[in-house]
Amino acid sequence: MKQFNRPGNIGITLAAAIFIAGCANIPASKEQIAVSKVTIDNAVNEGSRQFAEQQLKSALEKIDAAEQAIADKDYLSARHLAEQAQADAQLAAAMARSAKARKVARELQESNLMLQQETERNAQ
Amino acid sequence: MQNCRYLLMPLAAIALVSGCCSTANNSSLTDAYNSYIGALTDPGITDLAAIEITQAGALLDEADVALNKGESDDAIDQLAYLAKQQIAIAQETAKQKTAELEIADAIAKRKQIGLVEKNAETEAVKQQLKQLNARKTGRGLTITLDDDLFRAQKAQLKPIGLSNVVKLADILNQYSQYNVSIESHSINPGLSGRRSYAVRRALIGMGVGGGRIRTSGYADTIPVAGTAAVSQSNQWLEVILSDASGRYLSEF
Repeated sequence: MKQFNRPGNIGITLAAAIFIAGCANIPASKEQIAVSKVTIDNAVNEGSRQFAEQQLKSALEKIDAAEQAIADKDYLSARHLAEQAQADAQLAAAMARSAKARKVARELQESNLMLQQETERNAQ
Repeated sequence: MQNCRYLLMPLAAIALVSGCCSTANNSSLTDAYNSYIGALTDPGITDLAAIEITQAGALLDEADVALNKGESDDAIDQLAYLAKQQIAIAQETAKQKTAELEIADAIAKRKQIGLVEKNAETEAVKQQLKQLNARKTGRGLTITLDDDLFRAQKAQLKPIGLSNVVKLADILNQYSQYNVSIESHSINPGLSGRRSYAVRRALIGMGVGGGRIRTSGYADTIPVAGTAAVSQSNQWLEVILSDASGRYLSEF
């Protein structure tokens, strides 16, 4: 351990550490992009194109930007962007699910109201 | 206890925030904390999206640790962003669950309305059957059209007899699941057959499908249990209600 404290080696050690961290970030970033893409697919399947357009668009833009960052070898940005894309896609899916549930609830309530009015009319 | 929990959770969050003196240094994290505290005061979120909001809390904790370690603004902003989105996910999840509860309520209510409707229908049918003096017999619900509803020794219905057939047609048109069997009892089999057909024709004329009407004419060969034998002064026509599979109905 002592040898690392020698001033001359600090720069090399640091460079090596950054290099290793950088390398470790390559698969991590790519893996995160793959996970985020699956999450985006799920969000699309939930109907986020219709119910959470903005969030879906944001996720898609960030995944593109993440891939660009990989190409630029900016792996930290790539991972951050991909993580954000995943969060945006998860939100898009949640928004689509809640919008769909609210739509069904509203339709059922309206049809109940109509049915009730009809029943009351018939009873008179 | 429920109320206490809602009060305590935001207080705990505030304590957490104020305990961490450095949050003020990062505005995105401060914003995320404020949203988090707001979400914790919403019982809908703490009840219906407990897992989602706990995940947001975990991200904020992670951000705190990062801040205390002196990590870069980028790293903290990233965690703050993820926490902010996770809070929004919790809010949407709560809305979704609320809507799902509303759906369950609406379905229960629909069944209730259906039940009321069915009761009202049953009541209406009972009233109409009562007007026709329908009675339960061994063979089912039976409506009797007396001889005096027909012209003497003819197959023509008098206006009063016709008005009874109108009421019967009304019931049959409203409740398509019921079929009728028309049985005429006269001293003369030819007259019996013609009277049954007269009622059948009248019902068809009023919109009842012919397939739902069975007719038969009897002379005095088939006396009905509990009734006097057919004679010149004792002739009648019976309308027996059955369901579509031909079973006689005892009641609605």
